[in-house]
Amino acid sequence: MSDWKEIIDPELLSTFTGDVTVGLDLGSRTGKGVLLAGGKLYTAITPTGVYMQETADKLLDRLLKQSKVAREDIAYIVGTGYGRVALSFGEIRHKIVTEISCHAMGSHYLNAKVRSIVDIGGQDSKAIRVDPTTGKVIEFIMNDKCAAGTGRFLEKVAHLLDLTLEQLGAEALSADAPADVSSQCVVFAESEVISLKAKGVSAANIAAGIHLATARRVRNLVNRIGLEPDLVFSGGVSNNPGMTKALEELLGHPISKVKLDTIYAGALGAAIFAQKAASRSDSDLNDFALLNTK
Amino acid sequence: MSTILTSEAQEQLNHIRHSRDVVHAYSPAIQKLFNLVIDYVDDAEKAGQGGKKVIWAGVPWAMPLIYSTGAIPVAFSELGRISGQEAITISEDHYQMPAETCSMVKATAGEWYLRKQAGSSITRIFGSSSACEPYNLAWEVMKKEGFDVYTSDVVYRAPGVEGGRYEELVQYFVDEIREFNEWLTGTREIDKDSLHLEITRKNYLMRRIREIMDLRLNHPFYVKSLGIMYLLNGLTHYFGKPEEYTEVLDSLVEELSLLEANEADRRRAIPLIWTGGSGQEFGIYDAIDNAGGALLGFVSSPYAKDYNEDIDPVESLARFQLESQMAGASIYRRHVIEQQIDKIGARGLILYGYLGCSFGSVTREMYREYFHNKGIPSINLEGTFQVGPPSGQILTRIRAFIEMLS
Ligand code: SF4
Repeated sequence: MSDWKEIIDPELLSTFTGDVTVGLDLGSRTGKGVLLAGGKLYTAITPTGVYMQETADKLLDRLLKQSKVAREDIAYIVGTGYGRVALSFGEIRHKIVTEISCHAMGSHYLNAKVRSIVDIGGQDSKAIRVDPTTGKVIEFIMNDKCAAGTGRFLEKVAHLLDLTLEQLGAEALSADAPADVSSQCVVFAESEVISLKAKGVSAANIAAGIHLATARRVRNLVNRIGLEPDLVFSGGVSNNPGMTKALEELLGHPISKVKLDTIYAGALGAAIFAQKAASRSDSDLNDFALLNTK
Repeated sequence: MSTILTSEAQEQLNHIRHSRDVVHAYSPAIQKLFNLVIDYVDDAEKAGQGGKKVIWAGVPWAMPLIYSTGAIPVAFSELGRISGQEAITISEDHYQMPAETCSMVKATAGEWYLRKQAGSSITRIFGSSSACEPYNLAWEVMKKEGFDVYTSDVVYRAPGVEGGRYEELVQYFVDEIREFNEWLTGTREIDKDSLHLEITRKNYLMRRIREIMDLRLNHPFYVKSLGIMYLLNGLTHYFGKPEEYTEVLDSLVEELSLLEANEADRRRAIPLIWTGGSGQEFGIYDAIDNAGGALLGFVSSPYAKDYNEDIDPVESLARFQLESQMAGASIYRRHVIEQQIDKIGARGLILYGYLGCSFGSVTREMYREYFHNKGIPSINLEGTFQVGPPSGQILTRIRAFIEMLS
């Protein structure tokens, strides 16, 4: 739990209302939730289960317990992420918005100057351009064809090196000569990592090479939409320091520091959309015309 | 013979039935349209069993000519649309087509195999050559399979081809048309009266489509995305039943004309243009509708201008094709997209192609760049031809694109 004032860009604080709202970001690997109430921001995280609704309910329960807010006091919920379509919250007003819009809005509220976002999740990676006056998406590009440039790829490599995902990122920071990794395909990467290991290349150098190879894919996405500062790195992989370093190196640009773990950026954006929606009646709600998709 | 359907294909048909019975429950015209869609291939098979001449045909310009000979064309695209994963697997395993081959070609070739095994009445295929390598491969495979395959050259009008060079192209094309007629009927002599009637019919139908597209500007959500896709696909082949397709268009014009203008819908709609092939994963169309997008421009079947009814009909056929947006170079289609952007006030373009089509991907890139520079955003979608729900990522991209435009 934190005060809004400590987290949200001061320029945008005044746009918050007194409504209690929730944003739930159901990613392919983890579910994240943000609740906004009484000048405070609460977060919750849990691995995504088989049933998205259960994951969403679990997040909501945790947020309610933490904040001591009653369920009936929730003015609005916005669901986002891979599992958003299945959501239902009975009597509570709710709608869905894509994670692309939510990451943009969340990042905007963390840093009102942000113009570019790199979002690397479990299943896909995205480069997004944001309008700094509204937080809306101007352009985006998404790599969704294969594991290249995604958390899934890093996870696979971590496994091959007998490391956890967290260890993989930390390990990469101590590399002295990052290995040259050409393959981005999980299938080929396996044999490439094995042959690097056989050649005696250290785990740190392999890990760094893998991060650089992943960052190269992401750089291609970013180049496509054009990098304009400030740049925010969001999504599940943003916690990986090896990836942050590789991206900064390859993009030639620092990643802005914000005051919330950006794994929550999508959920925060969803909670902000919920704030905007709560103050209007459903009949006015045509901003995304995404009401009631059930 | 009844259609061979895998469970996924059944799902695809269920999607169409749902659109007919639930989504468009208020529109008798669209219900009639979907009946034509659902029965197209089956009824053509039955007509073949009853002694009618029926051919698989994938060459849009030839449709009026085929009808003029009394034959029924079955567009391969419609066959692919009701094929399932099994057809794809047959192409990859039995015919050893590489996995990255265009999914439309794999779906169609696999379906042909399955149908042949089941004793299909349709054994002749008319395709075009030189344009598409994957189809060239399919023709060879189908010949070996015992089909009577005939291919005609694609006549490509490059930008700047005018004057004498253009006239030569027309003559070359007229010859191609005669040769095709010979394969189809045994003679190069074309029944000009009959062809003239077909051209007149086509002009009538294109005018009707123009009226519908204009009327839709006031009622952007009356015909949903899947409906408009099929309406325009039908303009090429009439689903094997020209009179019934004509009735669909006539009654839809009537339905739309009787509606009161809907200001709220007009303001709510996000006008979009769809270019490229028509999507197979029908969920894409739902995603557009649910997000408030309205496909008010559709650049596939040409309908903007008429065939010339005052000249020799064979020549008219050739000239229409060479002067239409499908003449070859993508610049012709680009002009049509530009006109439509102005006409409907489009806010975005959906550039759709099939996975594995190298032509399509180059064209989409060119359009993206060109329209981006003019301030019109686009989304580039690559779909598969096999049935089944679209991936979550594709749906996310569509929704995010429309959110971005709203
Ligand atoms: S989509 Fe492309 S590759 Fe596939 S059949 Fe058409 S032209 Fe050929």
